[in-house]
Amino acid sequence: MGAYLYLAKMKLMAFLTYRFEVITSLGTNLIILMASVFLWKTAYSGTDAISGVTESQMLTYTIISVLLSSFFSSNIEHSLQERIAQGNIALDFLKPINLIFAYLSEDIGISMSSVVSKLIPVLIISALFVQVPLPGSWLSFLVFLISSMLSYLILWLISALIAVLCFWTVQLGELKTVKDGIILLISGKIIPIRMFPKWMQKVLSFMPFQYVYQTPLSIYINRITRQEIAFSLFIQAIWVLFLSLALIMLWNKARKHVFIQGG
Amino acid sequence: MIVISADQLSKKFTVIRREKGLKGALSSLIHPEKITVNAVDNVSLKIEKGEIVGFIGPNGAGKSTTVKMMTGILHPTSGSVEINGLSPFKDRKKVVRELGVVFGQRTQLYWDLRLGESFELLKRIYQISDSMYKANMKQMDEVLGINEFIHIPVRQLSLGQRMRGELAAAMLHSPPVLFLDEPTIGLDVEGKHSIRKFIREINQRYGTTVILTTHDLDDVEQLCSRLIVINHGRIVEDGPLQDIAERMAPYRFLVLEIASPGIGIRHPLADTVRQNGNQVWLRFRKSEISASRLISDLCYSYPVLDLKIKEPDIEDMIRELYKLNDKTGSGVCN
Amino acid sequence: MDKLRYYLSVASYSMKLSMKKQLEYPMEIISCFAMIPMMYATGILLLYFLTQNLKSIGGWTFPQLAFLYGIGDLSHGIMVVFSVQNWFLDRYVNRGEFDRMLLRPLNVFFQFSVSYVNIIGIMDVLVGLSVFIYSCVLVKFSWTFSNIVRLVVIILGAALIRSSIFTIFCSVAFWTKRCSAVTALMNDMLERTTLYPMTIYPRLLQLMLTLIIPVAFISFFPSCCFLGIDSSFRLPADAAVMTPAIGIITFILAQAVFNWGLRNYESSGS
Repeated sequence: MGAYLYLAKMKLMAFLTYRFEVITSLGTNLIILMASVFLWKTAYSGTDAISGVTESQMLTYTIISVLLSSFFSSNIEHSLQERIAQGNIALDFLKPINLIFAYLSEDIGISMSSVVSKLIPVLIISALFVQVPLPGSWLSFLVFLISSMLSYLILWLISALIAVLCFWTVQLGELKTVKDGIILLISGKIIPIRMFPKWMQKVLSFMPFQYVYQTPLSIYINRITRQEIAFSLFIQAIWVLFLSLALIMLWNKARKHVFIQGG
Repeated sequence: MIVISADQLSKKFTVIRREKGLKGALSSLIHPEKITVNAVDNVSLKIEKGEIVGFIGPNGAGKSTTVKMMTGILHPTSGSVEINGLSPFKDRKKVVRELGVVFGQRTQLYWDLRLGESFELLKRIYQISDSMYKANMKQMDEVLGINEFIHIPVRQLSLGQRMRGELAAAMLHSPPVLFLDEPTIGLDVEGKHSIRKFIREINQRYGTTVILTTHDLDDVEQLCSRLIVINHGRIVEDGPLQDIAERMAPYRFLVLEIASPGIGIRHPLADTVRQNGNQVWLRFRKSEISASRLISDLCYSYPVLDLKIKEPDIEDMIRELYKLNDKTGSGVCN
Repeated sequence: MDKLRYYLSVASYSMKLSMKKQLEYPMEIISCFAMIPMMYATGILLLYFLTQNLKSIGGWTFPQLAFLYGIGDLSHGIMVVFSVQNWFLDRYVNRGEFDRMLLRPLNVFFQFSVSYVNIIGIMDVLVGLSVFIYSCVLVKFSWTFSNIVRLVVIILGAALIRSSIFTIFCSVAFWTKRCSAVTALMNDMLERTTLYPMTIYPRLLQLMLTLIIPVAFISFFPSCCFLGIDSSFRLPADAAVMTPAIGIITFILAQAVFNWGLRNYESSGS
């Protein structure tokens, strides 16, 4: 356990060493926040509600979405790809720690540093310009946090699955960017899924993506009933389980592949 | 004619001190602590055309930093440098046209391309005429065997081939001044041999001035007429190799094999340092008596069966130099 | 004249070698070629879904937004082909590439600019072109000779503005040895200011995007010109004159910043 904590701490420290980087990343999130807020404000000028969502709900949705995304980053694709490209990955398998957890710890470390360097500052600065919406109640906030953690895991597992593909393709190329782009579109990060055509909503409900952003955000803005909340959390948990199993299976396959191919 | 001159060249670096631990990382984020390092301290030198000068010193002594300042890559904190009368920072392009540089640790070649393609690009950059290009390439092949691997991508070359390629690239535009930073590092005997041969040839044929930074003392012995020793950013020794050698390691050794053990060899200008059965080791100063004189004296007086002359190791000399310098903490001469 | 020929010969050979180098890895090129259309598709789909629900954004309909998107994409594509090395300036610094350039009798910014031609970027240009032409059909763009000339001049000027912005900001790598965060920041900023009409932002921000970082000249003002929309800015001249002019000005500024950074690099070593 100590090893994993250490990994997380190391990543946090490495991150803090680069002052300038920290400030710039902060700037990026601020820009995204501001741009989204302005976009929606313009869109709502003249309408009360779009697809049943009011302006204040939409702004809440956007702001919390940006705050979540500052925290939802994963580095596993990058680090894994690097290790494979350099041929060091076989060595990693020989170490006495579970590699999957090691990567997860690293990413958690990075996310923790993001809370300090991005989330909190963005929250503070944006509070000066926009009214940062508060959650409905302590209970709903708690549920929101639980849902967010599940979302984090789902997102991380998806990233990990894509990263593991690297074992066979070596060069990820733009795969990560494409994945990010797809997630941007269909996870509810920018637009609530509600605004998509009905048939798309049906299709997407069978995929894990909407449970990354749409779910916790909907909980926050109090748009769904108690039963729907419970159901959504349940689905999130199922996805976590399913993706974990898929990852473990694929990982073992990859490990065999490495030992046959050699690094 | 003076080709390179440096006057009170100095370089100070500011380094941020990083504290350990998480608290330290946070504190250096907000309030970084800076330290000044004197990498090069008042270096002055003058190099004449056609000299092959060896630049030696322990790691971190400031050799590379000085070379970087002389080639114009690095700006000095104070002092000045002139190459052929021009300043490398004010007239960079003009100076650099007359310069050839090889960095042993970094490549000047283009990694993914065939060696020949790097040369073609250099031909255009230095505006080398077709005839000069052909002539130079021919000479490179004669001395370095370049054509053997000219069609291979640089990243696939062996270290020896790569170094030969670097040298060829540096000399392609026939510069009158050549800076070599550790050119024989990591090479095998044959590789070193061909590099040294090349340097000697271009120096003899074209009078190319060569500044050679090296840790390999065979390089120094075989190539350099003059030696500059740098330590702690200052010049510690600067003069003809022979003079320094004589000062630092003034002794030569004469090993005699005598007819029977127990004979005490005595000579006013030689000390017996060791006696092992029939072998006697004598030490004498080069400046006081010549080897031939000593030998004839001893052979006249003692039953000498066989003898051998041993020169002091240049390594011993260098070690003495570094040791001396560290003890006194400052330069012996400037 | 001789000098021009000299620079041209070095530039063309250097770019040729750069492309040769990339062609050694055809698989990477092909896989990227496959991915890039998908990336742009998500972008335009986002716009589409937004407008399905909103009918218009700040008065701009989907065809007009698509035009804005397309014209922005084209200049982006050209920038990605010819000056994407700005994004990797920190790599050049850390690998000592500038040391090598300083030892050659040529302007370092010139060497840097011609050191890389991004073959993969060609796909960006193709996709941008398709999106743009599609949008032209939607807005019933009139393909007159004058319009085409203005278009070419604007897009080249816009590419110059984009490339200069990156040069200026990525030069921070000369001081801090890293520029990946700045690159991401600029990319995000450019995306959000060239893909949506600038009018969604408050007036102060619009002024900043016109006078301080002239992003508005990349796609917004040109689009307003072509589509006949009032940008609420009284510009001294037509976009076809302003955009390339701003492009040249920012390019000169970019060179100055680059050289300033290079001098700092020369003072602090690597």
